[in-house]
Amino acid sequence: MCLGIPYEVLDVLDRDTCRIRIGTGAQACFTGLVDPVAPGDWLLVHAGFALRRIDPADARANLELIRRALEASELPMPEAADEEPAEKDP
Amino acid sequence: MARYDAIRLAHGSGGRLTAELIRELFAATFASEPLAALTDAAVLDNLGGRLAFATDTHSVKPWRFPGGDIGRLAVAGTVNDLAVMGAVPTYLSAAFLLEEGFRMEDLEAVVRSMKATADEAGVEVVAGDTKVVERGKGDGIFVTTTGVGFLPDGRDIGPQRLTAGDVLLVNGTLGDHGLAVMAAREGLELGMALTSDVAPLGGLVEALLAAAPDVHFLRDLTRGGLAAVANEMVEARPFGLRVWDAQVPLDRDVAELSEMLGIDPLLAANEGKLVVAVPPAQADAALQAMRAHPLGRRAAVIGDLVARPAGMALVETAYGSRRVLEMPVEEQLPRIC
Amino acid sequence: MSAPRETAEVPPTVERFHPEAYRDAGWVRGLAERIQEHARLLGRPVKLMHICGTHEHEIGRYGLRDLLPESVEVLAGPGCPVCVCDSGWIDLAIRLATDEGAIVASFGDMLAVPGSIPLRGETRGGARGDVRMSLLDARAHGGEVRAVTSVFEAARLAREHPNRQVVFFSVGFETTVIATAALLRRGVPPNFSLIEANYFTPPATHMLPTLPGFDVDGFLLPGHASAVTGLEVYRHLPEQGLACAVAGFEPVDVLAAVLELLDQLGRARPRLANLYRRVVPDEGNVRALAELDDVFELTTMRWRGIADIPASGYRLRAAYRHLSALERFPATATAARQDASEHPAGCRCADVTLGLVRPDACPLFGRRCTPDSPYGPCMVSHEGTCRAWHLYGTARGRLEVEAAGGGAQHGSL
Repeated sequence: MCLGIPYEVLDVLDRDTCRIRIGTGAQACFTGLVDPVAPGDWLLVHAGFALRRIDPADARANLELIRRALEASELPMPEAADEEPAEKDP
Repeated sequence: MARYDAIRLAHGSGGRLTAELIRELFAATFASEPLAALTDAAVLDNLGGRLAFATDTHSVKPWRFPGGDIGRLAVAGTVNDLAVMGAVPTYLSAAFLLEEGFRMEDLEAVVRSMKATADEAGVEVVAGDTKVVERGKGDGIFVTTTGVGFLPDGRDIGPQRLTAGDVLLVNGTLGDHGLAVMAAREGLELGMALTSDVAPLGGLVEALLAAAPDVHFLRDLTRGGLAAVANEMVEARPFGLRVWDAQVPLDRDVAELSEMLGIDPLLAANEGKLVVAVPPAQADAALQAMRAHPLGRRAAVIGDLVARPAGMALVETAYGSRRVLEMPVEEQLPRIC
Repeated sequence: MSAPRETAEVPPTVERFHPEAYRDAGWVRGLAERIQEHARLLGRPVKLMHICGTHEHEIGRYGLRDLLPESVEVLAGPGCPVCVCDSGWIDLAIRLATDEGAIVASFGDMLAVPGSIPLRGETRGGARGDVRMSLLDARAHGGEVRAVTSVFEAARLAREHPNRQVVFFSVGFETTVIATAALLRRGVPPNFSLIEANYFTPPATHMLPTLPGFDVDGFLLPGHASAVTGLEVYRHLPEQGLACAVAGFEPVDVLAAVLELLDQLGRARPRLANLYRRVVPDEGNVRALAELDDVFELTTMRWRGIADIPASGYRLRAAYRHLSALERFPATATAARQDASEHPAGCRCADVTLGLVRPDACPLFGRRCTPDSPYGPCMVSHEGTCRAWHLYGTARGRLEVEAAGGGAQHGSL
């Protein structure tokens, strides 16, 4: 389960509430479970609340990971250790 | 009539209050000769040829929503049922079932809206009826309209003409009515400009048929959206239907809201949209004719009829993969999973 | 005449967050090709499982199985909270609406799911048999049932109706229950209470590999649930040799995770890979976990038709127990808490939910149980495996037969 969609913060109403942009409109979103947000931040929103503030560095890392998976010219894929600093190995 | 703020039982009992309501509201607003004569039935003697005949009943809640109201819905609904047969809608009747206590000013607004929509569609309301039920026994207001239209010779539009290879078009964005009503009903405070697309399409159909006389099939999309009509078109037929996901026109807010609620706009209601099936040679003419009309600015080619798989409606994604376009069963509900 | 295709262009590195990158057709095509290559190299059939209803929904929506080779199968495991929610909770919700006159606020997903209270005198879709009441039936029988999209909306309902009891049917996994916890910590009106039907996913993944016949090679782990719990709760899986990848929900996310799993299998290096880094921190949402722990404790929960699994569900702690519907309505709670038959007679939803059998192994599938007249939860829920299969899997079978006659077929080796 978990229909979760990224939305951009329009403005902040208080510590626990912001408004997110939905198309040409806006809706309130509970932010008590994430660090304080600012307009322009992207939030992953599920069932009326923010689950995570999307850090631009994480977003870049995610995109880069996929780009490299796509562009790898030979198989198997390159060693993963250098791609993900927080990699868990058994 | 200014004496009564709200409908009373007596307004439906056939006595003085009924007569006043008919004369001062319905006959005065609809302004047609048969209604002015206040006879039991309208006599129509100038139709000739084949007639198309349709009826529609409405119970939408709330009775007024962004972009329309139950009155406009009732007129447009029957007009569109006639228009998609290739008939020229001409006369309507309107029957009202009112709940005691329904506000007079709301009824006046509904009737005015019906007159305006009828004028837009070029039809006259020539007959009607009113009944009132006790408070608590009705849902405010129900409206039923029945209409007739003249079907010009030589027009043969219907499912019997559908065949594999036909190109499918719609006259604009899908899911508008369903999402607008859902937003209004759920009380979603969104500040979006979501409006119903309710509109009479007779004029658009005539413009379409003038440019593409060999249209095979027309159907207006209502409850159940494109999905319902698509499945009706192919059920037990020797062809199937394919919709290209990426080609379906969607209003940006409808797309965003349906994403948020987990609703599929292809299954959501429309009240001013139709699907057109034409032979490939006439597809471009059909498209241009609709785009030239105010109610077809965002018309688009959205799919076609295919030989295989027969009897099924499919959606082809931007990736070339496919999913079944299901026949809607129950009302779509917002989901979180 | 065919639809125009987008050309394959890999987007440049972006500074801003671009959600649409994860639906990019070029990327999807590229990943599908890499998957085909890896599957060919691997040279054997592979079974992958996801445990998230939304994964099943999105896979169906984008037809992603069409893009996978025949040798790579993606199964739906127990990830549909609607399917595993014990019927006792549904029965309680129904009785609170019909017998106690409470306003029952529920997510839309749950409204059509049958519990275990028989609905007499009704046939569905022309089929006689074991029809059970859902919340929609409760509404038709005079109960007040309202669909809400968040727990906050339910609390607002309670404020708007101070003279009525408002009961929130709190369903969903760890992703959803954290909002309930956060709300309760901040205060709710006195007429508000909740049905504690929230489940915790990881214990199911402890149980699955112990089942006879379990032959899954790897897991697509649930992206949003993992954003809450972090990765370590799934450590036991790679330790048992199962490949794992935390996956997001867009087409690119799902395919990238499948590719990662094939890579792990190819190298025989099972591990916990995080393919959804933009949303999932390895440690999870620490704040949410703390608030959750303040309000709820883990307890044994019955997974409908499957088993009572220890520490797999959430119960209110003592300080918040007065907000439980079980405390607020003790008589009704007792009435609802019977040894109910879990699924309607003959329904194999439990086995399907565990990924042990395919839907068409259930004797009712496609016969007495269809999306038009669903019998068990797996057919009612939009994420239910049986519903997805009926719409997609059965159709796929027909599509393949048609393809033999010359139509287009996509995505096979």
